[in-house]
Amino acid sequence: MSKNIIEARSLVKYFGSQAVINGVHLEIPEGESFVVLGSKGAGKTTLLGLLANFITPSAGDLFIQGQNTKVVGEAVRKKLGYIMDKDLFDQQLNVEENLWIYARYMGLSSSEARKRIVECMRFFEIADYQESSIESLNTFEKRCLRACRAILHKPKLIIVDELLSGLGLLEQNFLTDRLLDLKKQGLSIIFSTDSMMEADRLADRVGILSAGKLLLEGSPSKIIENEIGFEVVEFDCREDEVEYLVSKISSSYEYRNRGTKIYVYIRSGQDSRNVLDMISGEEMSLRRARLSDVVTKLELSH
Amino acid sequence: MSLQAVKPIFRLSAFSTKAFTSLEKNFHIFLQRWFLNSFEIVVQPILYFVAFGFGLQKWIGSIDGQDYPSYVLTGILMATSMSTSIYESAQGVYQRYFTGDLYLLLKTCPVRFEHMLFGEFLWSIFRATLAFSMLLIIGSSLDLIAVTDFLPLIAICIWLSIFFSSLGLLLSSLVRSYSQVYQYLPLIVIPQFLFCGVFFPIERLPETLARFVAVLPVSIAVDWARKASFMDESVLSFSYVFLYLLLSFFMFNFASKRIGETLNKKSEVMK
Repeated sequence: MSKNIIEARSLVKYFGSQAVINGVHLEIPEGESFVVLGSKGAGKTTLLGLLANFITPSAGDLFIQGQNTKVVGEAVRKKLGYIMDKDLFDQQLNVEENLWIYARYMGLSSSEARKRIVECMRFFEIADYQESSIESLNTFEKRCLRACRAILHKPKLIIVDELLSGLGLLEQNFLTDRLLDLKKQGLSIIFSTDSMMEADRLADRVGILSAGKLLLEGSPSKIIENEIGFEVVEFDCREDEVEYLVSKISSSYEYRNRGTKIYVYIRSGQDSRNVLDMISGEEMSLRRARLSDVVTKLELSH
Repeated sequence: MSLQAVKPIFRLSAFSTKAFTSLEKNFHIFLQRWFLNSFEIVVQPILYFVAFGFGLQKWIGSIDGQDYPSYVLTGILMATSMSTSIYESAQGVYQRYFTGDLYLLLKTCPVRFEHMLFGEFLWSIFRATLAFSMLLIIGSSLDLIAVTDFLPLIAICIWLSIFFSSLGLLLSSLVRSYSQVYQYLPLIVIPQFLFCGVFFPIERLPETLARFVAVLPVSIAVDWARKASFMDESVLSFSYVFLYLLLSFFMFNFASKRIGETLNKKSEVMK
């Protein structure tokens, strides 16, 4: 049986009287990549902050490689690399100096730090920017630098918060490839993203967070199969038609609607043609079910 | 009695070798523009020295058997130690930790804010000692200070910097904005600069004021620096040194805890 790199037991985080994270249980085996999905405000960043030992939980326990973070304290952060959703670079220092100082904070010796900086910068293909100032880097280069910084100390686990948001497709692919390379090297990855495509590529398992609760957890294909089925018919109708169409569809199919937009979920064994017949004349699309449908469905269920 | 049971104010939680990384970082940034930075920390004391030391020498001549430039230089040395350390710790710490969100990065590392603040504390002592040493060299080249006095003078400078660095940290832990740092610092620095024997003997002040001023750290440091040997010092004078060291310890501990807690809270809200 593989050991868990991280184990969260009933994690709770209150901000004021509001529970932003509400009783999350999570076990992630070593070498696994786990993607946290959820709509905006679901608590993804807070959950990742808790798992990174960045935020102190209001209740519950967190174990990293079997060590209770309450007992080990900040020393446990040496085992993980946390890529926050902020750049956090010192503008007074150039690229290499920023990395060097961080490596020193992480407890690396000066010579070890220099060696790792070269290795990691090459890995993220930013070696040419060693002497560059931070302000001369573009958004993508800064993201590479964030990722580079997080692996300097050879962590066992990296926690990645929204690294890809706002990047172009090629740039997203590049960073996802690098993360997959790190995974091949044995690193565990916890990742939060809005990009379902990248989530699909990266995830061994996904967890879907809603209102601070981890509602679903499992492999992407299993979750899609269980929650959605095989296909999704998505269409827009007139406002006066919604009630009529919903009553027709709901007898045989599961559906959700957001105003006049209706999503019909086709399970395997069901025939999508029947739905298409019911809504003939409407503008619609029929497609394979995907992770984003699960998130949308959960969002519309609450 | 376990460490947990000891009252927090007596805990030495901030004293860690991890603090040296902050020191290293600040030193690295200082070295990037070493000439400009060195110039910055000594130019003001040099201006005071030239203006008062040489400017007033003709009218004053000497005080207590010391030529006025030499008399003023020892005072300015101590005043520099005070102002450099308190400005660096109060203003530097506030700027580095409370403005912007760079402090968040530290929370991803196996360090505590208290460790880093100890590093900042050491850095402000180091910076003050550096400024002090440069002035010593200038003083020595003008034949105003004997090289043999360097070590005891540096020891006094370090003692004074320890106190004012702690006071600076305390100030940055209590103020609510960066502008408040600037409002309060002159209130601490200027009176000591003017009345603690830097430019004229304390005895010239009204008696009540002189008695109060005599026990302030800058007065003690200036008084010590002007004497040929520590052997002449009274037990009372030594006890003030220990008293101020003890006070520094409490101020530092209180400030580092308070700043640490504030930053921890702030970093969680940031999420």
